[in-house]
Amino acid sequence: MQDRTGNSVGRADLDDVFTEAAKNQYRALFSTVMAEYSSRVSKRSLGVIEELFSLGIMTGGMLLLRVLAGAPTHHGMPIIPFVVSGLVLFWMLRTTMFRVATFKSAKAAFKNNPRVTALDVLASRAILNTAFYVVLAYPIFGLMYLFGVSPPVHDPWAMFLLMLLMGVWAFSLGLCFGALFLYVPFARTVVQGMMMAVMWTSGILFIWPEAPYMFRGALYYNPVFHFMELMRTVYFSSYITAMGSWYYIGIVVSVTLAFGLMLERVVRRRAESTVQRVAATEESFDGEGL
Amino acid sequence: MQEGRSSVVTLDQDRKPRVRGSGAIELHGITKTIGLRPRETLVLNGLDAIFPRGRAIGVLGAPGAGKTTLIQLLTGNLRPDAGRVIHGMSVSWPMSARDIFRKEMSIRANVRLLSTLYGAWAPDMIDAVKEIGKIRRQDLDMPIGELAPDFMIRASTSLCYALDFDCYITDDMLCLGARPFRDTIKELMLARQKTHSFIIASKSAPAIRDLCDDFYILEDGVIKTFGDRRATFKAFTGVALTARLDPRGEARDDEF
Repeated sequence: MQDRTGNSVGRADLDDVFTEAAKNQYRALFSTVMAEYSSRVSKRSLGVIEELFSLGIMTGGMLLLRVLAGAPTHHGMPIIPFVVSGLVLFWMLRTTMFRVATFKSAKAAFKNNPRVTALDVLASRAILNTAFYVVLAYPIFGLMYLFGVSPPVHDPWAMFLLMLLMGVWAFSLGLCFGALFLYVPFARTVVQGMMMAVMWTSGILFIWPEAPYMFRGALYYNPVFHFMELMRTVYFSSYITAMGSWYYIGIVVSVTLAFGLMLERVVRRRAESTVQRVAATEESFDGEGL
Repeated sequence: MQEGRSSVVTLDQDRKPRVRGSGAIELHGITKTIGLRPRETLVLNGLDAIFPRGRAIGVLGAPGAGKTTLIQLLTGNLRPDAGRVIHGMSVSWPMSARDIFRKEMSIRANVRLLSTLYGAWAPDMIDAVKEIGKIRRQDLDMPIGELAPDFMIRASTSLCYALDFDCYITDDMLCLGARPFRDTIKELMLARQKTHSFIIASKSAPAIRDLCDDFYILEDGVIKTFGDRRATFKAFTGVALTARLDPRGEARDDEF
């Protein structure tokens, strides 16, 4: 193999190029994750507090519904961990997805930094949000166990894997919807409304045996419902899902990720299109004043 | 590179000692449009150029000629629609960029971020920024948005020099800020001209005539040369280049 100047290129050179590229990618991702973290929580923690508050309101509302209905358990699963486990997973999907579906602002934050691409920023947002919910979930589940309102998590490692898969899927969906929002901005509002509908119909408050027969066909292919069923299976030792499939969500996540990455590549030019100048003004430069 | 009135400029790449970088920056058949249909504008049209290492090169262009786009392509911040950019040396970010730092973060956090990105040791970079930019310790941890704009300029320019790129790329503004800081940067720049490369895109030829070894003209989406520095300058400004002090104190072979 030869390079552009005609010199032979050995395996070691190619390995070196790959290693350097991998190092650069790692540096870019690490830096952007830290920058996003810093923006989000270091100086003003309002974003995190708001997120926790909205999750808390939703959880409280759902629990209140169940308590008022006089149903403290759900098929042997205590209602508090039942609702909380479902909502944490769904909230992670919802917030990660909308954080990723922001192509314009992604590169704008690092507008003049050639080492950071929009995809780096989007990936870092997904990593940060997924980590946030994973770090949030385990202490919450631990506290519920300590206060006696929940059994211990049945399979914490499987739960971790499930949350990671949800993070990747949310990132992939964010890429797909981000591409759509670039061309149809008002679709964001439609999708936000749609997500509320998905929340109520995807198993946060019910499990497969309770699903009406007429909707089971749709539920069977609903990946969110598979996630919810698996979440209850890995959380509660007393529940084994009859339909939740790791294989199915693996396929869904892989296909969505591939599709999302392709879409991001297709619309990148539009997302990065700008006529802004590097310098804010074009004042004449005074060489004497250098 | 297109010829103007005479043949392509011959460049002596070995004029300076210990020049940084392993090769030139090469642009081959670069085409770039800005904006989206139906208002997209063809800015660069099949541009070919080689920016050799160890030279200070001035790219002259009228407003709207595509200098900013060229700078963004050279720094790798934009991708060409067609053609290839080959970097034989590490390049800085556009030094004139005022928003390289994030305003919600402190100077220290920004320096850490960029040091990590460029694989440099952050504590050394923070020390260098403090020293070059004359930034006091108590200002390092304040969010940049709460400091005077001068701090961001001093910090980002200082970091750009501290990171020791092979090639520094800038738009019209070489350095902003207060006079003492500009003097510091001037000294740094002149010291580095012996070993580093500079590419300065400007619409003002007199402003950069003493800083650059060679001039190219960006016009009609391509880079043109007119034989030598003097002829290129004249072609752009319409006036002859007059002798001025060489800022490096070196004898120029084309002084007149």
